[in-house]
Amino acid sequence: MEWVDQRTLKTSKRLNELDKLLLRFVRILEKYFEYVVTSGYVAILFGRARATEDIDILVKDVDEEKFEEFWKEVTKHFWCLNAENPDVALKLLREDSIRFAMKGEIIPNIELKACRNVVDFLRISERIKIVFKNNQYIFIPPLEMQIVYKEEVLKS
Amino acid sequence: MDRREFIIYWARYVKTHPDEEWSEQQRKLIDSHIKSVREFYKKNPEIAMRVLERYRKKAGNA
Repeated sequence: MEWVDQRTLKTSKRLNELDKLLLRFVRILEKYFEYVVTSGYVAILFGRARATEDIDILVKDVDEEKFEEFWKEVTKHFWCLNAENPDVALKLLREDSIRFAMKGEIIPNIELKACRNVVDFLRISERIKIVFKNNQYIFIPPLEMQIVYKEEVLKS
Repeated sequence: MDRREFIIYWARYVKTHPDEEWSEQQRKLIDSHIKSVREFYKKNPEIAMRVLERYRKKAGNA
């Protein structure tokens, strides 16, 4: 991996199933919401040798209108594992989380959460861009914040 | 090699090898894990349903 500028990292890693799922999902998500991919996937992105069955994404500014449009588009390709309609899904997203997987699959899945506190908003406003070999990209929180969040908020 | 030794070994490997190389090893691990869980769920649909129910139950409590 190499830094292109202060907020952009480029990687030529080979894409695994998680990367491919994520890239498909965020191409839809980014049309509607700012986001960062967090938690275990970030450790995997930087080389950790472990598997995971879900990818956590944090989104901000979830309003009803945008969410309905997002729901229409995302459900053409993915299905929501824990909500059947956009009203329930939005309520769940605001209170807890919603999960999406490719149609007919359960894993891997994407767990979407909405920002709830200052730290969450900061993780998005200070986000950094990861550019893959095929020029597709995702956003993650600054690594320092990722570590502090794990240690101080999650106590892990 | 215990867990800690493996983590140190693997971190050194990632630092000293190109992205293409370490990620190919990682890709094999992740893709085979996903493949085997998918196959497991296909053979054991009742367990897949239980996983789904767990997600939905959690949602129902929100």
